[in-house]
Amino acid sequence: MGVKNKFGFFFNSKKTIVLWIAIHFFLVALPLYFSPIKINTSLFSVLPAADELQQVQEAEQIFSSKTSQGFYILIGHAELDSALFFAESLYNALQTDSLQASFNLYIDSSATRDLEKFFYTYRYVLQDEYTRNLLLNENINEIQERALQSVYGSFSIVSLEHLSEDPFLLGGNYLKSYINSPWLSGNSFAPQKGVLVATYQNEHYIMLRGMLSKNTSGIAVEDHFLERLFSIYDQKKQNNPEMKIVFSGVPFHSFESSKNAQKEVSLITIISLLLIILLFILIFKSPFPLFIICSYIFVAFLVAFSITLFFFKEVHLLTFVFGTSIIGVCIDYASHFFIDWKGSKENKSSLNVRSNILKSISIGFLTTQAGYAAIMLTPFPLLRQMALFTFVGLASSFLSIVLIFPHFPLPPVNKRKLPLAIADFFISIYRNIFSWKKSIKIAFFFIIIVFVGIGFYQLKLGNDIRSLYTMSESLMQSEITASKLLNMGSSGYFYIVSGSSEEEVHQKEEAFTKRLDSLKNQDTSFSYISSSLIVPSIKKQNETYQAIGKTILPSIKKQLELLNLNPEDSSIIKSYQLASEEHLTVHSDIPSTLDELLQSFWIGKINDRYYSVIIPFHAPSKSVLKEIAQNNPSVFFVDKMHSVGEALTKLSHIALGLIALIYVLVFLLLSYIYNLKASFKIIMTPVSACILSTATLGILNVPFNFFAIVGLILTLSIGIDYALFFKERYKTIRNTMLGVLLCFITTVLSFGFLSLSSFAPVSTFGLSVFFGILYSFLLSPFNGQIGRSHE
Amino acid sequence: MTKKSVILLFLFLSISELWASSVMQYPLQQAEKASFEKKIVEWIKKPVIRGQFKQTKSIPKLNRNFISNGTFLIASDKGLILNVQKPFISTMIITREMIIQKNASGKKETLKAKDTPSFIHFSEMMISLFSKKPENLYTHFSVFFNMNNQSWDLGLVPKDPSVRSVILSIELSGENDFPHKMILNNADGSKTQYDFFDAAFFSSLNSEETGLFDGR
Repeated sequence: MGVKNKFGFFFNSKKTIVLWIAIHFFLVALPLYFSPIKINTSLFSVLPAADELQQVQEAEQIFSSKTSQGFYILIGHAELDSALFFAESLYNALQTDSLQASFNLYIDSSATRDLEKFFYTYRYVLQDEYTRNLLLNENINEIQERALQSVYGSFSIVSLEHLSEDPFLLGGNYLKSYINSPWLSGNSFAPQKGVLVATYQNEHYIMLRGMLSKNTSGIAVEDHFLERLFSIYDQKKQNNPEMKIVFSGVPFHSFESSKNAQKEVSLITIISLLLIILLFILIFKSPFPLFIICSYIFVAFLVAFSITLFFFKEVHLLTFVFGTSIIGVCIDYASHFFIDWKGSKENKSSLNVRSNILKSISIGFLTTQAGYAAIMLTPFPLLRQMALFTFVGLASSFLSIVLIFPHFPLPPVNKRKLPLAIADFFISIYRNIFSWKKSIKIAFFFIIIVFVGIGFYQLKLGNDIRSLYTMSESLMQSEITASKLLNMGSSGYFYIVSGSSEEEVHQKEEAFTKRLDSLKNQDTSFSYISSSLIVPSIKKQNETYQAIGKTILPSIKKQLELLNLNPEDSSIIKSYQLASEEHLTVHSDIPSTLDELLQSFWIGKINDRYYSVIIPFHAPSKSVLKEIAQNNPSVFFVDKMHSVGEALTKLSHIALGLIALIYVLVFLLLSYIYNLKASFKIIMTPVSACILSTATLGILNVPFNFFAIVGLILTLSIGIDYALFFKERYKTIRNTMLGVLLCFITTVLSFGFLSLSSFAPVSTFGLSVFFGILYSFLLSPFNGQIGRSHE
Repeated sequence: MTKKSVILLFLFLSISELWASSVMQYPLQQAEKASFEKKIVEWIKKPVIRGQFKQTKSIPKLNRNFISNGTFLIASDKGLILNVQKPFISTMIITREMIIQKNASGKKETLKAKDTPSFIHFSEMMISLFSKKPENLYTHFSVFFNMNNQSWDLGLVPKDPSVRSVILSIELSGENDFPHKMILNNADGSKTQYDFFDAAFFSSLNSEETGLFDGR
């Protein structure tokens, strides 16, 4: 027995079932055993960085995840006491959720004293810019005058208890500047009754600050604390209809959008599943094909999930969304199997069915897989993950068709009957088209050309991330009120500073912020926060220390005399000398209010580099901010929204370029199997469908973005299958038409319905697939022999 | 009795004595509210009060008092100006919108309400003392009041814990009309006492004073 026969014997035997089980067990169980299940829901974390941000991508992601975990709940009422009562009851109710998030309602009343103590301790190295300039310019008169004003003038925020050790009140300078800085003054909230209160439109708002814990899911999952928060709020609101509440922060948006998406997708899935069930029952008059299809799709998804998890250590939510193309292709393969299984009286067993469809699905499978394999080679995690997921899922479904399906018993010959009337209807339409006069064909062709022209002219290219998410009216109102109350003036732009050591980062920050300071002088509303404002570089601390030694120490005796204090200056000189080695670092014992602030923009060490963030407020314009950082190799300007959009556009270009390259290869492959003309026609079916789909999106004013392009990739995978089915199965044209029609309807039911989603990316993807598949379906019969048999 | 217990007992007795002699043992009763409010309104006979003050800052840790003298100006609808003349010139202007500090050379430091709401809370509190509106006092303070013939004492404890972390309490006392003394008890143990004298009442501000209140 030859090798080929041996293989053929094995291929036809039931041993293939064992092989299928072994492969699937290996592909599912082992990865799941080694990789704990983790689903990533953050869009930012998987997108590639724009070119100029490659070096700081990780630092930028850490900063983004820090900022996306914080949130505010503002509780408002015309009566402050009522607002406080409600805020306290909400705060107490939320304490049970301390594992999911931490909450802060009350102000630490010792905070001012702690800050005072801290600034006093580090007075020889930490001075505000104004005082530093006085010290560096040896302007002892003004320093002296300011101290005397605090001592003899009316109300002063600087405590005088250390006056004998600090006669120039150096410890109070930074406190004054801190209180008058944007860090505190960025919003309208002020301490009152132990909490932070602001008044807006005759309502008192109390601030409840929150931070999601690292393990808390951003999306709506069972027992999510935001679910409980909303239900507590609803209860309270019933009893206090005058109560107002404002939610602000990324967690609310993630929760709301994911909850809406879940609701919509569930509804769409249920409706489309019911319609698919009805369709299969009508066509096959048996639940068996439907049961088999559902089971094998489930297995394909499971394998795709476990392998992706194994290689990427997590699966992104978008991978699931786009990985649903597995469903579309799986249904295609299985539909063609069952159409032949149910419709062909010549088959002796299901092995014959496999033989009949093997060539068309194998070519379809190989061309699709070639595309996904190429995408897997790109350096972009999200694209690679999606490609791997789909690649593995399709491989599993192909194996199921080849190894398992041929062992299904055939229905009795008398029951092998299909409702072909609908197929005949479509065939007659195409035969009509084939019989059109040449002039009509040319006119029709021109109409299509004009349609495509208009569509492409109107096409809105690009990825504006702002257009991808539309928040609900209530959440938008909440954010508007919050922005008025919080008034941080943050534009979403920031800088990342990198250096080889903590000290280098601080020094580079200080050098860079000198440029921001000159901007500040031109525009008084502009300000910024950087870690070096709290922890200056050691170099700067040493300069301050030296300047104090030079300017202050010689005048201490005189100042003590002027204050009528013991003119013994030796203890002050001693404390100054002792402080020579005491530097402030990010690891020093810093009061919690200041440390929380510092930690929010100090990124720290990543691999061998150190990073920090500078946040500008009330920025004059993006171009000005961007220009300042230009040609500075250590400072990176980040416009998150723009860079995400750019990254998606880049991803789209690469995906399109790759697909074009793959289709050249597929064309070469097909031309090896068929002749050049036939290969060109096959290729042109999905390509034309994509062109027409793109034009339609242009005419409908739907943005042509990354999600539309992913829809086109799916169109190419499925469209080429349709073309191949018509090319290969022309002998059973009625069955083929019914099979492709079944595939088309199920794909439209599964994906086309997504276009009804209110979530822009899903809707764009759905529309792109819907039109792509529609045009593929309409064009694919031109590959077959409908016209020829008519002739 | 150990040494520690003796010190504690001594401390307790000293504090009790202080408290016993203080207005703080007379929380304002509902029945007294009307006479108290009448007294508060009586202080401000006319919208503008000009007078002199002596300020004594006592720092127990240093065992030192820092004394200064100057003039004050209260405009019940605008705010308060404290003009220190001796030993060093400085001016503080407190309004609802801003707090301005000026030194001898005219150099100004301004805190604006919209920029630093925490400070404005303090200025509102101070202005409420002279606003002719007792309800403003109830908003910011727990009120203690004691009247004995013509003399009276008023104790105010800030309701806000964050304010209390800086100022523990304010005590005012007077005999007939305008208070002659105000003491700010600070959280760090220090005290600032204002002795007011030569208070005179006027109907309006002059243009220079209006300019100061407007931040000019």
